[in-house]
Amino acid sequence: MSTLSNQSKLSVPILVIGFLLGLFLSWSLISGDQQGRVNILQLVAIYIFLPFFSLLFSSVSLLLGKNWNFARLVSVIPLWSQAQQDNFLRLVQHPHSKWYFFYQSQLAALSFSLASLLVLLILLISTDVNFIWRSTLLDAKQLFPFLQWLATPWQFWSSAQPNLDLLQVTQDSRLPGQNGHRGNFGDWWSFIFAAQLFYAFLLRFVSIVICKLYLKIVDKRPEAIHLTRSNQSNNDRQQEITLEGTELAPLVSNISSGFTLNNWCGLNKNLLQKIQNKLQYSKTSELSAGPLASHSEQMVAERWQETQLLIVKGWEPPLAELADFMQNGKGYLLPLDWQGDEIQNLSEPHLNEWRRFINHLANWQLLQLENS
Amino acid sequence: MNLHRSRASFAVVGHPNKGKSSIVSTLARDDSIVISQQSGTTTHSDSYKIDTGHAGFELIDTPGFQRPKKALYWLNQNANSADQRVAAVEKFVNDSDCQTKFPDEVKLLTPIVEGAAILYVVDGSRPYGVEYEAEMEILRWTGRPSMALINPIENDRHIDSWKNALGQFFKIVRVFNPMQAGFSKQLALLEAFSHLEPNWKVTLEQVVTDLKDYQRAIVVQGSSLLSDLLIDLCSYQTHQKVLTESQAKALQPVLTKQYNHWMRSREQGAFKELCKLFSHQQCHLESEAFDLPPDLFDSEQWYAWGLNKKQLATVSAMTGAAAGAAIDVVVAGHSFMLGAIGGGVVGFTSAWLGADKLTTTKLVGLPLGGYQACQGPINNKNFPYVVIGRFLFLFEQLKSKNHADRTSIIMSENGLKERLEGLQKNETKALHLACKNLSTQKANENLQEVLLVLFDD
Repeated sequence: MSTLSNQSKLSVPILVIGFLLGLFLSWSLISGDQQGRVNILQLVAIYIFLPFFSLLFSSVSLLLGKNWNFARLVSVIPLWSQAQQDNFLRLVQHPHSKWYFFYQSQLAALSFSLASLLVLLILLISTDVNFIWRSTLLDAKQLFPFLQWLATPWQFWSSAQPNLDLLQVTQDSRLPGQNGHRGNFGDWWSFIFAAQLFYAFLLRFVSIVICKLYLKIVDKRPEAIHLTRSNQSNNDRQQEITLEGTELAPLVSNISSGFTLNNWCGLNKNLLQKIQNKLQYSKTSELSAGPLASHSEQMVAERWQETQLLIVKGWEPPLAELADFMQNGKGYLLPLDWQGDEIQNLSEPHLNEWRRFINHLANWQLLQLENS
Repeated sequence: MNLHRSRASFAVVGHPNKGKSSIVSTLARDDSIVISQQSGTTTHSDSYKIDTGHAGFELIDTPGFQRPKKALYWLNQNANSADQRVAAVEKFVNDSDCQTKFPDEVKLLTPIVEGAAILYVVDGSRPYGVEYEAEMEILRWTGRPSMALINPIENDRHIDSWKNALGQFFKIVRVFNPMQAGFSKQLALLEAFSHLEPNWKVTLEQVVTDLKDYQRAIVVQGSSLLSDLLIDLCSYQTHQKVLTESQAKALQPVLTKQYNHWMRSREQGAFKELCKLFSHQQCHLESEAFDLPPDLFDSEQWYAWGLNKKQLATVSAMTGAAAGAAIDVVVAGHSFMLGAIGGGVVGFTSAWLGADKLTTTKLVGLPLGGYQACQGPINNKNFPYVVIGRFLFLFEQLKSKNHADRTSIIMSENGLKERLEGLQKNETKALHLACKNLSTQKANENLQEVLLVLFDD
């Protein structure tokens, strides 16, 4: 299956959507009304509650095996091209697609936060933002502990901590003449900034890192074990099969009398008698060479210049030991196959092996018994 | 002499044409190793290093013995007693005269002298012969750990007599057919290797563990390949936009050809991937392409900006709702969201009812609509089962096919019915639902998981 990282076509649109949402929402909120007044409680909702609860919701959905998140929602918008819809169809069926959509959603949220932060900074620099708060039910003393609790993660940053006096003086009313001291309204910026950094940025960043690591692991898991082979051959294997095109030597079925029998394969008397009957030769002298012969017998046989009938095991491949021996002699080579005391036909691959072999030996002919 | 190889190393030796290369091919899981019925195919020692991820071993494919009797005679001349034999073999390997006179014996003994253990291979379908004793004696002289493998090439008629003879020369004797030995037998052989040399025990045990993990990973990857293949084959569509319906219909033969070609290539591609997964890269498949239903062609209208009717209606509804929402904002919510709701309904309805007219409408001479000739996707509910059947058949064939086996695989769809019958009721139900979703181009969120049960033994 194609890896999830190949499905990056969703990343760009989702990042753009997240960024644009962050940009417009933050701009419309932080630019405030005609007096530049911005309600802190609305900012808390957008920069703390929205990121925190959306993260909680998508995480719970992921853990429950559901796929409820922003990226999945974007992927089902019926405006995608057919190719992209096919791509999503494939993606959804990936075993780890839920993590992928969750990851994309975190990216969108991070992009949203980045845009929001950017807007806050631009407006802080370029305009006078007046942070106020209004409430019908709450007063400053009730609200303060809650804001203090929200600011716990950045306790080390004292200027970004909420202040009860500041909270009291920035309480606003839409009734004319009820405004607090204008000089304090901008002092909330560090609290808002820290809240954005922690709740919108840091938490998302952590979730992205965890998700990315998980996807990296699961994307690799099926390929964790590789079976690799290396051949340290110093020869060209293609050159090895050189015998395929070699011509096959002709076969003979009769031999002229006046030869010496060389029982290379140690054939028993019964089988020797059967061969004698088939070839119709009278009893002949015998040589001993090959694996069963003694060293002295082998020496004698190697010097033998008369015609021989050399009997070998037909199913065994011809060895160089035999070829060396045959270089100095002449006669007939009889590769034989048998089962018990019954002579059998030699299989074609074996016969051809011997025919190729004897083709290189000028003084020898290959004998095949008829109707064996 | 380096007798302390860190990697477990085995020289596969024996008479020519007894299946040494086949054994190496199967154990190394490498079907590129040359195997031939002709003797003397291997003329050099070829080393195959198998790395299983956390461990590894080395197999050395050697040429067969060619002059064992004379080589043993030479060794006897150079060692008067048993304590001199190992040195004599080393001398034999390094002697330039021996390298000329006994090139095959020198090549096959060199890795053994360098520290490889011995895997001696014989043919159990042919009777034992005394001519083998010179070979076995030479190997005994090396003093290296050794194991004999009886390869029943044609039948197992002579295995017992071979066992009797080999038992006198080798510590361990096993019957192993490289053409038929299943995965468990291969692992059992590797486990037996670990008894040869205590220093390699941990490594070889790790190799066995890795190979078991590898086999499991193949199942997961196989189901993943099938999942991808099914999604692709069941959702694939070729299309071409044209101005008139007659033009669309004229495109049918071209699109049909393109579609069929793509579908068959996609399946062949998946088969190739599967072969690669099993390291059967040279495997030849004899397969007939699946039959595709003949009624896959359709010509549908398309509308402005390339959007179809549904998309156009959605865009219109969204635009209408946005415009209505703007009115709601202007009247400060006194319209109770009726602007947004009404705008959406009006946008959707007008797009749905008026869309057909767009096909004949032109804007500054450019047509706003037209026709789209489509081939596919397949809606036949049996089609996913055909794809699954063929893929599973190949999977099973490859799973049981050894790397020494070079015969072609003749494709079939047989076996799926038996597989389905072996599933649990809930597994069958999930599979049927997945196939139904595939044939209606709906998403299956756990397709690979559903398919995985078909790959289990």
